[in-house]
Amino acid sequence: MTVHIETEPGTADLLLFADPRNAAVELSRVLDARRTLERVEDGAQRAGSVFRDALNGRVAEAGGELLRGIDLGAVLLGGWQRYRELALAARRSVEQPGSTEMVRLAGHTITSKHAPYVDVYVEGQHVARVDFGIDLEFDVVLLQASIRNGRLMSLRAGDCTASITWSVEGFPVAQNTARLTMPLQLRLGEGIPLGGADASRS
Amino acid sequence: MARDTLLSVPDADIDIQVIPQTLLPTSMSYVIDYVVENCSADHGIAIQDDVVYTVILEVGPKVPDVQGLSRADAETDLDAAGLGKDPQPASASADWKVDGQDPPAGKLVSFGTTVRLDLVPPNPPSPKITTPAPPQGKPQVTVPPLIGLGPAAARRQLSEVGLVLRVDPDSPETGEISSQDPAAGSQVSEGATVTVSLQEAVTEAPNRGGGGGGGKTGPGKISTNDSGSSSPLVPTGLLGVVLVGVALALVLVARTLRARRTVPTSDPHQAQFQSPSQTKPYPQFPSQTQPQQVPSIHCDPQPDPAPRLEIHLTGSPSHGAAPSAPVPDIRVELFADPGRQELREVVS
Repeated sequence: MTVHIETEPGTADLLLFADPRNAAVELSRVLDARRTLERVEDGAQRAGSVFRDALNGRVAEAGGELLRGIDLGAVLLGGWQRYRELALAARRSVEQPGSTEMVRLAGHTITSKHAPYVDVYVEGQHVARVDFGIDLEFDVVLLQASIRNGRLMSLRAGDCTASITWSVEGFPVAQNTARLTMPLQLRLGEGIPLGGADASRS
Repeated sequence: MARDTLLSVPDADIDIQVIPQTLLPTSMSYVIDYVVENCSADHGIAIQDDVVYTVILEVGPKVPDVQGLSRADAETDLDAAGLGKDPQPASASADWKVDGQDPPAGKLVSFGTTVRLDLVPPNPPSPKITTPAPPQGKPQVTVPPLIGLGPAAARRQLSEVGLVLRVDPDSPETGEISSQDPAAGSQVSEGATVTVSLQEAVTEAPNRGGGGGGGKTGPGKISTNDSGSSSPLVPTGLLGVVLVGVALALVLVARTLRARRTVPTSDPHQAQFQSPSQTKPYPQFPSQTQPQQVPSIHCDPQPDPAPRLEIHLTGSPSHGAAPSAPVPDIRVELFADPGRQELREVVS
């Protein structure tokens, strides 16, 4: 069973744009203004407005899709799983079966850096790779977690502010900061395993 | 011109294609759009070696100005320009006039573009046209020469061609015609009036002398046939002959002087007898032989040998719109990145 944390907004594109269709539109504008795809045209040995428009549209749609694929709840959960105190509490809960460990975390920041990319093929030939950058930062006021049998069973999070910066080939496309809302009490079902070996990473 | 401009680029290997490939010989074409293929990112400004650039020119005509033309003429012009036509109303006859058009004149469009023609019924002849036109409805006849004829003969000649004789009331009632109006050779409508002036016949003067041979002689008088006699009446007869001669000489001199004063007249025969005192109190038809007072209009078309050429890139097609050319095969593969999360505690 996949555990999912519902947040509002739920994905990175919605954190940037109220209308998700504007992601591709804005990216297309930046691609055109920065001439980002000229090297792709050179690599494809193609030119002309028709080819340029088609290439721009496809890359913009792909970039928007990559943005839309970033789930903010999953990013938050990935950050919390790396918290050292949670890993230690999980080890203790395993050592004492049936016990519940409560971990309280005051103000903290979770950062997440994403580097998706798009490979472009023209007439079946790979001509270029377009790199994107998506930087997320969550400022969380409070977190209280319950761990049992080495699993993260529930979370109680306070206020959260999320910031995002979107770039293509090093050029900024858009950035935004917004309040992120989530349920006060996050029930995680059967729980999320917290690897004790991973506790040393953070 | 666009082709010449492209071909004049130094050190450039450019292949030019024109769309449509077949152009109307009667229509001037202008570049609407162009596409450069196999061109570098700088759109061919910096020419690279060993690269053949293909420039596809899309050309089209300018919408002709058909405002004011009849429907037939407007459609002919549009056909010559390679454009379609949409007459409104469609049931308008060929002589209806174009009161509006869309697209407007001079607009650059693609071949085959339909031009809407707003047609209105033809108006009656405009009163602004002031060029005098000869009376319509009656055939035109030539005025015969009447000078030197008597009124009866002149009336007969005029009736043969359908004209009416009128004697100038200021002239003598009898005699020969000394002038006529309109002049001989003029083209007038059938039934028109020709006004003539008469001059008394000068041949009557010798008869009034009475002393000539065969003249009347009074009873008991000595006949003039008494030649060689030494009658005291002979000097009287000689005096009469001299007077008649003088009178004839005066008439001849007077005629000569009149003829000299009227030499500029186009008709020499008429000029010989025209008197300056003979005015024309009635409206006259314009003589076809006289120069018309119409201003000379000469149109010299001067085509622009170097029209200003502009090339506009069309905007990006909107999402969902059908592209005008086949879209190349472009495929993209997405590689998502779950990211690297880090958690930092905020030290209060």
